Amino acid sequence: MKTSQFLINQIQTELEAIAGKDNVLTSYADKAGYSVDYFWVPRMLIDRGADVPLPDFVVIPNNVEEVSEIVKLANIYHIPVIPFGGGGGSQGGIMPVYGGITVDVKRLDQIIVINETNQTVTAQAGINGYRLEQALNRTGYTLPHYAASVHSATLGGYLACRGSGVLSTKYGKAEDMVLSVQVVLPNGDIIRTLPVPNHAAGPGILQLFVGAEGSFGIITEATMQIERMPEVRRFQAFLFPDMHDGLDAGRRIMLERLSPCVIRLYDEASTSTRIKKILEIDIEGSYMVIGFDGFPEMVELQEKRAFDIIHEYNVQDLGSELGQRWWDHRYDFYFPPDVLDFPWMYGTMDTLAPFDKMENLYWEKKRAIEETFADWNVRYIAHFSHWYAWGVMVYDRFIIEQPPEDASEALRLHNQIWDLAVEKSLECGGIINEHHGVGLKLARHVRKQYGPAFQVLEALKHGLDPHNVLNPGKMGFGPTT
Amino acid sequence: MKIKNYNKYLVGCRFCPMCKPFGEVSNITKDETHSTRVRGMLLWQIANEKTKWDDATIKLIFESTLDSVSQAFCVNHYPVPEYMVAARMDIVEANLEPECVRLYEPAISQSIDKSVQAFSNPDAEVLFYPGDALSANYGASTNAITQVLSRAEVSVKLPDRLSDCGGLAYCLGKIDQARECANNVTADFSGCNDILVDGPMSYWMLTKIYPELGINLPENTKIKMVTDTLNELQEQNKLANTENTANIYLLGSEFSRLTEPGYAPFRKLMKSLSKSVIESYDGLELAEGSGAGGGLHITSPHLAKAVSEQRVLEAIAAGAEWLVCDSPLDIAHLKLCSDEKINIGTPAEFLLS
Repeated sequence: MKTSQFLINQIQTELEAIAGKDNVLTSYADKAGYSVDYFWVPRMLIDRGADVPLPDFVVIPNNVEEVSEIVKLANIYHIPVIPFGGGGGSQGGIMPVYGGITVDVKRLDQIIVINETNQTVTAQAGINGYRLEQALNRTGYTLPHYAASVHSATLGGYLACRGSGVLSTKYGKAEDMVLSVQVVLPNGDIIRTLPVPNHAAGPGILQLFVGAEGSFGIITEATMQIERMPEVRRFQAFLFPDMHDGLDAGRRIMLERLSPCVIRLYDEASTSTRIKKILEIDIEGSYMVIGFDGFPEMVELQEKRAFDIIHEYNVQDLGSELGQRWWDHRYDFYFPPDVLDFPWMYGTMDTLAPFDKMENLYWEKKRAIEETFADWNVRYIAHFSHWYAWGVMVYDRFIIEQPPEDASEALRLHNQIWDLAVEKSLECGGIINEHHGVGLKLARHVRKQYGPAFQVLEALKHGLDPHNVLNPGKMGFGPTT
Repeated sequence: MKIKNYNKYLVGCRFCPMCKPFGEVSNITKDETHSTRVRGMLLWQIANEKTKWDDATIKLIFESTLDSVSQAFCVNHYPVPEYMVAARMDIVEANLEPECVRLYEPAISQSIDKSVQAFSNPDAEVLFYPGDALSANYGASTNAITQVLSRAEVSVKLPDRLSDCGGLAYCLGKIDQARECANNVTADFSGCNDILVDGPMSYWMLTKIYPELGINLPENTKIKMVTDTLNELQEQNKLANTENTANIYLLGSEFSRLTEPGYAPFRKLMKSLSKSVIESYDGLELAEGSGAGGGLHITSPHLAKAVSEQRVLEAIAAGAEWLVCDSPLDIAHLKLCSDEKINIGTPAEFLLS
């Protein structure tokens, strides 16, 4: 149903009454800026000069009460509300595919309290990740969630997408660090989850909103577990002849529960391209960086046990300097011109599988993608960067250097590659995504992953948001009705 | 279009959010469109003829500092200020600039205040050019510098007339005005080879922008920042004792960042003047300015004021008693906006306190 111009004007007046005239934006420049994030598709549309889906309004509320009022208004008119944080998402979670109101929560950016007794921080969800970390560092603490998107992402964005940082192997993902949240529900009610470490009072409501990408509610505040800045944090680099041994060494280190903060293993293709370029080292093989942090005595012990394991393989010890260099330059990969960017077509297909399935998954996916799309000279590269007690994530990517110029054709090819990638991940014991979320990109694959279990999420969505007002089209849910 | 020359960088910036934690205006408004990313995207669209200038985009381009802090943070130092100025020049050339820009007139020429002229020694070899203070209409800075120099027995002469260095006109994209200023200034300097300037904007214009405008000072002309002179005097123990323990918050300025020496002389000077010098958490190189950078105080005074107020709050929160910046333009602007919650001044003003 198309919203009439009369109604658009009416809604604008009401939005202005809620958030103030200057905080309701309607120009092309404003709307376009809020329609593009890290997702390749809207970028491609802009690049090709094609139309990108725009919201009808962008609103920048000043407080949570205004967020609530906006959502209530959207329920009256049955128009979509798209939460916007830092624009650091890669799955199209902010794409206003059905128009509506994009709500930028970045003005909700206050640190409410750093509680040193409980070692927690409570902050509004719109705070920039880098700024939050800086404020914590000033007091000797850290939120060890060093995501690649830390410069742009907000705290709410970390949680909305179940994000992950480079230290997740020790400290966990965003959902592991969160203790409670304040949320604006789809009907506009403002709720808080339980402010205790745990409970046995029914299923956990907190985790319903974490990873829901704004579909079940807009996260407006969160209490996160924080850590003291470690006394030492050290890195060591190794070169394996191939990734097989590196994967096995990493598995053994995890099974020994040695608690590395980082294990990052680059496949041969990534080592000879990305690592070579960013770290300026001429090596062939499979580069691994491993790091430990905490008390010096403990780190020393952990390092010794881990390095002993690694040295059982035919490995070249590249030393601590090349490990530290990786840490110092870990964000350089994401600055132009080194970041994956146009004219290339690219996608990050991160997936997670148990240790015994990962290597096969990697090779099956690589073979399937490189053979099926050989005409496009597709490249498949990967690294393994988030390690768990019984599995590991592969951050795998496809790259096509000369994709179709035509926007529709490019989109079709992009989707075909993604369909195959997801199919292979699921077939080989993986999942559709490990830490970027579902968004629009993977919405069509969620049912495939969950099977009949998806009805649980659907029922929750229907109960909370009967008209699909919040972020429609994402997470496998339909349009606003 | 001049921005076409920056296409390579616009391609990089258009989708890149890496510098988002930084930005004087975007950190106040929290509006995504004030980010370097969105500006880059819109400018890329215009440079590549995917869209045309419209009122909102033009407003956006002027509703900003030059965001040199973005350039400083970018690991590859993409020239954000350069393409911002290029975009403004294109807008002015197309007669699409906002009225406040159209009405902006630099102080083409002024006679020197008599109290300041008293310090002038016509026989001195060094000519002191207070171009930053002139652009900011901030005579107190010139007064302070001449007093400090005089106390240290440094003799300078002042030109008979003062012409605006054209820095703000240039930042606003008014290249003809900037060129006219440059011609006036070079005429004022006639016969002098050693020029001492009062701040980074004048230094930037004289050393970098004038040559780009095709206006060259005589070959043997030496341009020096007053901060360098003060550093030399301090090394000769002619300025102040080093026991001062005032907490000084160092403020970044857009123009300092654009000059080749950057903040090094300013930082060195202030560290020699007080035992307690505070920088913002990211360090001076990534410190946000007062909001006067790039002419924001002309195009959007309320935003520039909000930026200034934020800097003052940061300095107070850091426990500072003084907020010092080597840019008279920034100091003048901060003083207008600060409600005297903290001492604010240039290094020379601090020295006289």
